[in-house]
Amino acid sequence: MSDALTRVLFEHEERTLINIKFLKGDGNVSKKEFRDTVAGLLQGIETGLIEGRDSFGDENLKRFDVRDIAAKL
Amino acid sequence: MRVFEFFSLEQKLPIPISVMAAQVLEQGHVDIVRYYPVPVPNKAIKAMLYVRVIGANGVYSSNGGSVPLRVAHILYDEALPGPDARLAVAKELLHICDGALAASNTRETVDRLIDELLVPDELLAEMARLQIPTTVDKAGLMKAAACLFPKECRDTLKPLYDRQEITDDYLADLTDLPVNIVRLIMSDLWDSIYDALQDIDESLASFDQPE
Repeated sequence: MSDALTRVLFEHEERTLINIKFLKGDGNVSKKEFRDTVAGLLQGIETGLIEGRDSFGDENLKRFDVRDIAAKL
Repeated sequence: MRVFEFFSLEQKLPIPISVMAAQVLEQGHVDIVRYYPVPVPNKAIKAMLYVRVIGANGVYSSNGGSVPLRVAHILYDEALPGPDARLAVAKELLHICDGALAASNTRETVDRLIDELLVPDELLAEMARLQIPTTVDKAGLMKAAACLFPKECRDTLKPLYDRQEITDDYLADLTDLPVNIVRLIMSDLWDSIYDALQDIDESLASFDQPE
């Protein structure tokens, strides 16, 4: 029997998975907890309960040329 | 030009995620990137990439036409400090360019990826062999660090660093990266790590070239 993660990733006829990757957190979680957490987050995205945005929000970061820094020091 | 190659020549710091995202989109693997800062239960993950096609089976397409829409969702723990969030999101952005060999998109590869990610790092060396998608996933953080602190920038600043005219904290501010990552990049060890990352990147790219 498939679990919630398998269902959200593979058992929806309108979507096809291309890739999924993770950066593991510091929590000491079991495989079931990990899969359930990921499934919950994916369901949140797919149902619109988790709202996304179009940018990370760092477009206006002030940038410095390292050659200028090296020349000044 | 591949993303890893593009950033190796960059001379300005910090590298905004928006600049990296533009480069990734230019590769043509996805149509849209969406970002989701969220609370993560149990600190199970710091970040996650989820790329899928809507309308791939011809059922519908939310872009209003018959062309399937390829969407990359990048979700990250909103509790992460800024530099850690940047690094985590950069790692996931780069995975958008994973070729067929490195992607996790079947029940078997996803199940095995999760199994292998949950193995403590100290036990990994004892495992016979990780599948390629897991190896690529684990190398992803270093690859992201290499893009956010480009080799050209690092090499320009290295003599100043070696003469102790600039510190780890100064470089962490300049790059907007975690200080432990900056320390690794400025170490002499980084040259060999960088060469290995470059080899992995070139090898995987060669697998995706049309015959």
